[in-house]
Amino acid sequence: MAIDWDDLRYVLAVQRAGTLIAAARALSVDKATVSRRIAALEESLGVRLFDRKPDGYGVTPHGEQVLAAVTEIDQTIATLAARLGDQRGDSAGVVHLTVPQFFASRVLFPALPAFRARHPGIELVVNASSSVLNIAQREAEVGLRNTRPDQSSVMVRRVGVLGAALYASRAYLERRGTPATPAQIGQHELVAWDRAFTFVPLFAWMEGSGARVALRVNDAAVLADAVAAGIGLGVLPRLLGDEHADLVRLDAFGHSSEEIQRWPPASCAARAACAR
Amino acid sequence: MAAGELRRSGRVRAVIELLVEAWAANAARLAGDPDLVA
Repeated sequence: MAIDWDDLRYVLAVQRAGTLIAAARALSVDKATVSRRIAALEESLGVRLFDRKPDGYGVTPHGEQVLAAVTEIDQTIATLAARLGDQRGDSAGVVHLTVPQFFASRVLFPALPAFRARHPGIELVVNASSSVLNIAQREAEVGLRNTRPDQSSVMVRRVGVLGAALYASRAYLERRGTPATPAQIGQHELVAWDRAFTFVPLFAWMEGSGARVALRVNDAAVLADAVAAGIGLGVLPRLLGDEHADLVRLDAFGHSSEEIQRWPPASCAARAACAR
Repeated sequence: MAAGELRRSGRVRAVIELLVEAWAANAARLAGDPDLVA
């Protein structure tokens, strides 16, 4: 049995990302390459690692065994890299990081215990903010944002897709009715983003919708609370909107990618950036 | 993901990997719609 060790990375990426295309993005290759490498590994091992389903790849019992081993290898290599970095003397110290507040509380913090165990010498200073900081001028060393910075001295890496949708509270919809067409949005109140953020296409559509802006805020979690309080409609990250018990997602226009392209609340690429 | 390696210090690279891995572990929740992930 000749296993190409590099193929094991593809198994881990598919399991983590859930779909071929998301794994391909994470590995900076195309979808066909991921599919081919998984198939090659399955042929080498003589077992199926994934069940191909319409909504993604499901791990088989054989796949679970392989993933347990690959995860252990991945952690061992990460620990080795961290240790070598420590020996170089550049893996300890303070790092100033800026991420949106919702990402910090819902996604980043749950990952920190494992990170701390791996990198005990790194002291993170988190600025939970959506403001556009100047990374080139070291207002932060690493930032996560849904727009590409315009400074050429900043290095940028795409980390994934942030889905968004239009939401309202149940109380608001009972009081004001549910908009059924884009034109009807103009008859509603909006909780909008601060003007400093409307350069993001995802938020800019609101400015031209004809709706009356009842409130502007500068943070997604605050925007979710304002929408839940019944102040108006608002565009929110799906992570916040879908997991908020008081909010209703307005799906009148569908949610396929093609439909979303015609309907402004859609998605945007999130990127991590640091100075060169 | 944008092409090119991030060449900063080990600690900055480690924090970027933290962001990338944390995002990947929550990719479905963050994208919200399977069409967007796929």
